[in-house]
Amino acid sequence: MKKSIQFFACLFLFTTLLQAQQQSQHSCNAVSLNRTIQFDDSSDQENIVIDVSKNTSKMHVSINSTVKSGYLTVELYDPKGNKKGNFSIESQVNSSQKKEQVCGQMQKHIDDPIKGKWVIKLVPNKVIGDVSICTSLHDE
Amino acid sequence: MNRPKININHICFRSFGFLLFAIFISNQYCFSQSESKNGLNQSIKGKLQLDSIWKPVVYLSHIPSFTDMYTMSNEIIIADAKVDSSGYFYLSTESLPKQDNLYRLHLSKKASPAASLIIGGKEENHIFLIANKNSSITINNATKDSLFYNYNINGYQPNIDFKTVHDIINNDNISAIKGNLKKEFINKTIYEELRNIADTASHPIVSLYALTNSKFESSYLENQKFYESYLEKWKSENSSYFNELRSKFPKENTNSTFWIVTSAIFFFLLGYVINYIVGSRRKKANKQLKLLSVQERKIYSLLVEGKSNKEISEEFNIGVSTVKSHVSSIYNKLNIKSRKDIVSLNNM
Repeated sequence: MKKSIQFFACLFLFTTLLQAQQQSQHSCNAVSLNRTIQFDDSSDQENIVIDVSKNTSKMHVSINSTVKSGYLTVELYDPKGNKKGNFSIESQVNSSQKKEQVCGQMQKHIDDPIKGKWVIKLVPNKVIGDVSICTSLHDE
Repeated sequence: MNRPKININHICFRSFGFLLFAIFISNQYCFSQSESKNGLNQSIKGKLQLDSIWKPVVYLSHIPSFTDMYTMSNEIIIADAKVDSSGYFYLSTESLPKQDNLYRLHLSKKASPAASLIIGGKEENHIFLIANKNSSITINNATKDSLFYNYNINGYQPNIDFKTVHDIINNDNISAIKGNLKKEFINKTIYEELRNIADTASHPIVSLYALTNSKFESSYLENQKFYESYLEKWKSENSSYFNELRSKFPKENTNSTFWIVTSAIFFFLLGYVINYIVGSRRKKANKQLKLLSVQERKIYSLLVEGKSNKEISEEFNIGVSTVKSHVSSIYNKLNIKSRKDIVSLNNM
């Protein structure tokens, strides 16, 4: 009797664990993309496209940028063309005696994002600096 | 007769007490005067609970337009102040302009430069303020974990209204709503709410901030009358914020009508003048042709056709020398020098 109770308890535990594992495997389906773009004086506008599928339930975008000189604008657009966030950073001093840095950072967390192509538009104007973009898309 | 005894000590004590009270009152008055002169009341101050990642310095930047709200550079930082070990900071507003302007107060992380901007999340490092030379503003944050995620602002009233509008615009709960149709519906309601605030707010920057974020460009044709009356209401406002808004609205029709009417009149007058000049030249040419004899006119018509003296002489059965004398007579009467001039005279 005691052995059968132990057996059923173990079986129950095992099935519960198996179910939990399957569920976590299903819910933790995430796609991450990390990109770093370096700009020099002559860099042109750059568009980074994030393809959001209909199964995507969460989207997280993190943009970090540092500019040593020039003017950089960063904009995030949804597939309908609506601006969902933006910032601009500018550094005017970059000589051998004086150097300055300007940083801009934007975090966006969107639940149930519109499916389609989201665009991060980077518009540099004589920029020396870099932008790193981290995006993660979580499926249902 | 018993005369009442005057207690000199008592009188002295009373007078001394009165003197002390007077000195105290005058000191208080002088102190309050000097305090207001030194601008101690006119300040942006407060207490911030800072995590160890933050540099204990607050920076104040001037924001000249709504499009520059998320622009960062060292050039727009106009003042800074240390945050002491207890979290207190103090920035005098004495050097600010008399008119209300938009400012951004921010802190930077220890590893980052002074000019750094963090947008979104619990590490958002800035807040916006409306201030002028005489403003008194107090800011306190609620917890150490988040800098400005949850903060209180007191003092100059427009800031409380501005924060309300800012919270509506940057409501994190909207992005967490599931279902795009639901999101769209809520967004539409928010835009309407913002337009209502824009309509009723008494402070121009607060009103304008609400309107700027209400997607007014897309609903301009639907609510044209509202926008026209809005611009009329604030027509005396000459700040850079309002000028920015005015430039976004479609130019008034009266202006384009004026240019259409003016250019139509101009071209009509130009046509009239050209017609007059050409007509007068033609009249002059006709008058000159009347001076020619019958024979000369016949020869003239052949000259116009480009015929030579010989061909003309053969046509009229006259000598070439006679033709030549007629031609020279025609030249004299018409005041021309060559056959080319005859052609151009005829083309008039």
